[in-house]
Amino acid sequence: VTTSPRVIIGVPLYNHAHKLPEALDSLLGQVYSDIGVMLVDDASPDDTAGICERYAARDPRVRFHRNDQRLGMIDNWRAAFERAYQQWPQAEYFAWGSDHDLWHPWWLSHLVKELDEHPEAVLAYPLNRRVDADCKLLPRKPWLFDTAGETEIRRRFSRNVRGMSAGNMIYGLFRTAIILRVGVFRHVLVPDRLVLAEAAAYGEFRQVPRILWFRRWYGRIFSLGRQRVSFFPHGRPLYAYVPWWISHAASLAITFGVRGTGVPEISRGRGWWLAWSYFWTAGLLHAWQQLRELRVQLLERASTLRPHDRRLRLLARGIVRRLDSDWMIQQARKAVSSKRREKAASSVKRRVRYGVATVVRTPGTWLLRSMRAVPIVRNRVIPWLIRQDLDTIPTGPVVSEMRTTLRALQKSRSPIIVGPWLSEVGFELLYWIPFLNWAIEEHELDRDRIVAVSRGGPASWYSGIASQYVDIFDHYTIEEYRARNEDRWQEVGNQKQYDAGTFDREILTRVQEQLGLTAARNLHPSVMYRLLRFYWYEKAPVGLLTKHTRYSALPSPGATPAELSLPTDYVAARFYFRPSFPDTPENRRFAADVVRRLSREYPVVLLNPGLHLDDHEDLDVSTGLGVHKIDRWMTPATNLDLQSRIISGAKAFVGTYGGLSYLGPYYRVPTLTFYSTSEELVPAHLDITWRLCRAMQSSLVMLKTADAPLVHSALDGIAPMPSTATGTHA
Amino acid sequence: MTADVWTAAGLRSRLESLRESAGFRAYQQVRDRVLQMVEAEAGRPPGVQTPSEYWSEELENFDYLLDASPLVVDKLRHHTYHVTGLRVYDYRSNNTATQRHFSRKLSALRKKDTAGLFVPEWPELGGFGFNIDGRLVNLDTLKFYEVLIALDHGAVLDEFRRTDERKIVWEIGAGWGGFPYQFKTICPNVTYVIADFPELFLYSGTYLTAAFPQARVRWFGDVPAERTFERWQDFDFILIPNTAAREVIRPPRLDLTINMVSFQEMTSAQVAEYAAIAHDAQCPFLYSLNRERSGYNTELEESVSQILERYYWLREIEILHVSYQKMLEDEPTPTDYRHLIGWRRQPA
Repeated sequence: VTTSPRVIIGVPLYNHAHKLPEALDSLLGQVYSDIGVMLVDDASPDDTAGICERYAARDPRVRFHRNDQRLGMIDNWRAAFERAYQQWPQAEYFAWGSDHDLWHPWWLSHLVKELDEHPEAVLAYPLNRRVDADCKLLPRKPWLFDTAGETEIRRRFSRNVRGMSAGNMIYGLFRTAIILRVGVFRHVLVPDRLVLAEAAAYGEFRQVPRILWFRRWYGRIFSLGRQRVSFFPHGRPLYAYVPWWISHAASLAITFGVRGTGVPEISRGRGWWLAWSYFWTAGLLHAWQQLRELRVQLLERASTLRPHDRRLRLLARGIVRRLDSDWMIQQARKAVSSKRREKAASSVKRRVRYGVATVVRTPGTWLLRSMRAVPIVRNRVIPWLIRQDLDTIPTGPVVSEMRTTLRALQKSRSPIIVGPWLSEVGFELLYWIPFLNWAIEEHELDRDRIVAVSRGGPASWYSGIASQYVDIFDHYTIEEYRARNEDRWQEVGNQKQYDAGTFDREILTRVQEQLGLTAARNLHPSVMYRLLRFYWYEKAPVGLLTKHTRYSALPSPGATPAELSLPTDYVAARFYFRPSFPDTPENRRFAADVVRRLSREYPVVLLNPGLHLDDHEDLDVSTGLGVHKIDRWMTPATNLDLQSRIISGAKAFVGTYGGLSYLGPYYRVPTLTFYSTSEELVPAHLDITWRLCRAMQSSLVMLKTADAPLVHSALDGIAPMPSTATGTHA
Repeated sequence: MTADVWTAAGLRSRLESLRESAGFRAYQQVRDRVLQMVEAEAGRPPGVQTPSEYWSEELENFDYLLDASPLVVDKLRHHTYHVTGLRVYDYRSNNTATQRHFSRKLSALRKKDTAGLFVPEWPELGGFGFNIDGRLVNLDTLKFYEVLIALDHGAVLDEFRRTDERKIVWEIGAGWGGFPYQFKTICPNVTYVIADFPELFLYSGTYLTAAFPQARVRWFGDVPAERTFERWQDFDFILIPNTAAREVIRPPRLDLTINMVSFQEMTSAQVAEYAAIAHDAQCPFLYSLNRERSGYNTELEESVSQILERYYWLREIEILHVSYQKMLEDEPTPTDYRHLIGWRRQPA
């Protein structure tokens, strides 16, 4: 004869195998061990059943059942309770578990004690903290609510309807008898609210003031539409479209008013009152929530509404203040002060400045475009003006615009062309590809629909993002490309693709023709550029970037071609000039010295392509013994592919900081880079480089050329990298 | 420092008064216990927990404490540099630049502390540190404070602070006893078990029995080994040699296992053995503040977290952007110490 545990836990499961063992271990690891756990798998396609079988086999407290076909969330929750109750009908307390949350080892000890000590309570639940997918605590204070000490049924019921947060309470510990009386989940939307509303009529809810439950938080994913899909997997009945507070009120009226289930504690008349009260309170609450949501959405989309919203709120605050007798005295004092006049003058000045800026903007933009070729205008004036401009633009509308674009892509069924990428390699690696990773994951874009367009053959960089890759050099010669790209700079005013120009559009047309695509949609780099410029120009925190990017290792580009006959172990090197490593005799000498020194220890493969594709000029380091040049194998259409293959197979990468050097961390190849002018480095890029290395668990060392002697003095005698150069690639 | 100690009569008088001090009396009792324990340990065959070469050398460095004068015991904390590396010299009052760093770090930690967990350095037995707001603060003080905050953020500490039911905590290697002192101050209703090299009880045993003169202490060997945990609720501290951990620590109960900065110095087998003991004793939480591997430790074949992961689900708690031994102005590195809180896995 098996004795019944005091506490039973019903765990409805669906498709969370990856988090299930952690969740189950926390349930079975309770210090209060007099428990029975019923696992009910709703025909998950993943390994949920296998995991449950293993747990049931090794722990006699665990029972497992798998539904023959998917029942949906409501019926599975019902099954979890019913099967647990059938198995252990004597159990006093019941709780629902889940396949992804975590329970503190003392969770049950405290909840059982709370219900034992308070027979008037029907439900006990703890404080909880939200944790992310990796179990990191999220910065939100625990939610507080209970009805302890409220003995009057109507007041307790109303307070509960107004203050409840069903998601935080439904995983509490119930008296089993109460669950039996309220009938588990009914087939309505937001059924947990209904269960809690009914339970509130029978007794108090008590919150234990300790953090004992860790709720996995995947962001605000709640929606009625989503509930309809998960509750009714075999088709949505018409009543699923009835507003939830109406169906809840009707259910309460039938349960308490017609059937009289609550008698004797709740008379039929009181039952009707509870249903009526629920209808109004919950209906008003719902309307209020909808209004708040609408307001947030409106403000997110239309920045012009913000001042009106602010005025309205100030007006409301003013009305409240007027009720205060001191307000009149304060106003009188303000009237005689000069602050008002100063404020008015500053407002006029601001308006005049704005008016002048508006008038000057268009001719000024044309003037700047025509003077773009002048280095000081390109390198100093235009970035300064962009920074000034950014000061006046809040990020909210840009984020909203970007999300609208991505949502439109998500909803459409057309092919999506991402690109064409015409800017620098560095931005492509550091921002564009991580941004695409994020956009695809966040908006669940189907990779089979995506075509990536770039130049120089980096197909492997996009192989995790797109199903097809088209290279611009398949359509243009290098001379055509260079000329057209120069024209694009002139046209849009910047090398960065803040806007799509004629050249971009022409490439898109050619790609569509080549692939026979009709009505393809475009995700242009300008979406990313316009968003992230706030971060680059230090007008937004790094969170803007981390929230909209995902850094992950690049897929392997494959082995180096055999005809290159490269050594087995080699160091890849590429030096070129850029503002942080300008063309000076010292830098030329330095680069040549580095290559020479390296080549004494290891074979060095120089990656310089011998092609002039952007504004960076290659440095031709003279070759010698142990230095391999591969420029003769480089073509415009393959140079990035070949360089990727060589870097991914290298023992280390050494060269100028920026651009291609970010490939090292992506392929987990130790990377040593140089610069000579700190002022030309952008701190935002350095920060992201460091974050990239951390994410890839790799390293990229940046060294100022002037500091090289110090490093040499400090590290002279350190054992070099082991070399096993014995042969060549087959 | 009192001036009269520098005269023969003054020295005699000071020694006499210190001989009667609580600290020296505690030391004398502890020394006898330690000698008994070391002798008993000498008969034990070498096993997994036998000290490494590193520790054998360290233990020899402070054998002079077996014959410490009352003056030495009165400044016991000055001699704990054998364990912590902290020296009084670095905390002179004219070292204002460093003191500013400490102040800033302390106030950063205070901002993270929502439960009032700060315990300053105990000023007796040579307690030292920068005087910040009238309290002594050194690197150990900040380290232990940070650990308490991490335990609090990880929802562990509350169980030990607000409890009617006595709880039992096991620290693997408590060093000079600084963390047990802080923990016991914050959570009085716990029995604190320390497993360590017996020689180190010269520090921790003396320090704790002097700091908590009313504490009830059970020494390994007072009763047969298998009965060491009998009526554990009646004791404040239970001190056992590290080699006896497997023998002594058994189910049904252990509530928290702690290790700071020593898993990283052990061999893989030693780390695994300690984790397995905690796991077998149903200990729900294991806290670790360690690097993944100490730079010079070649005997740790896997990283600390890889070994612990076999027994516990590990969750990292971040308190400050730098690890405990650094100041706020320093940069974090991938090899920094990590606050890890392990939740027990169910046995496979």
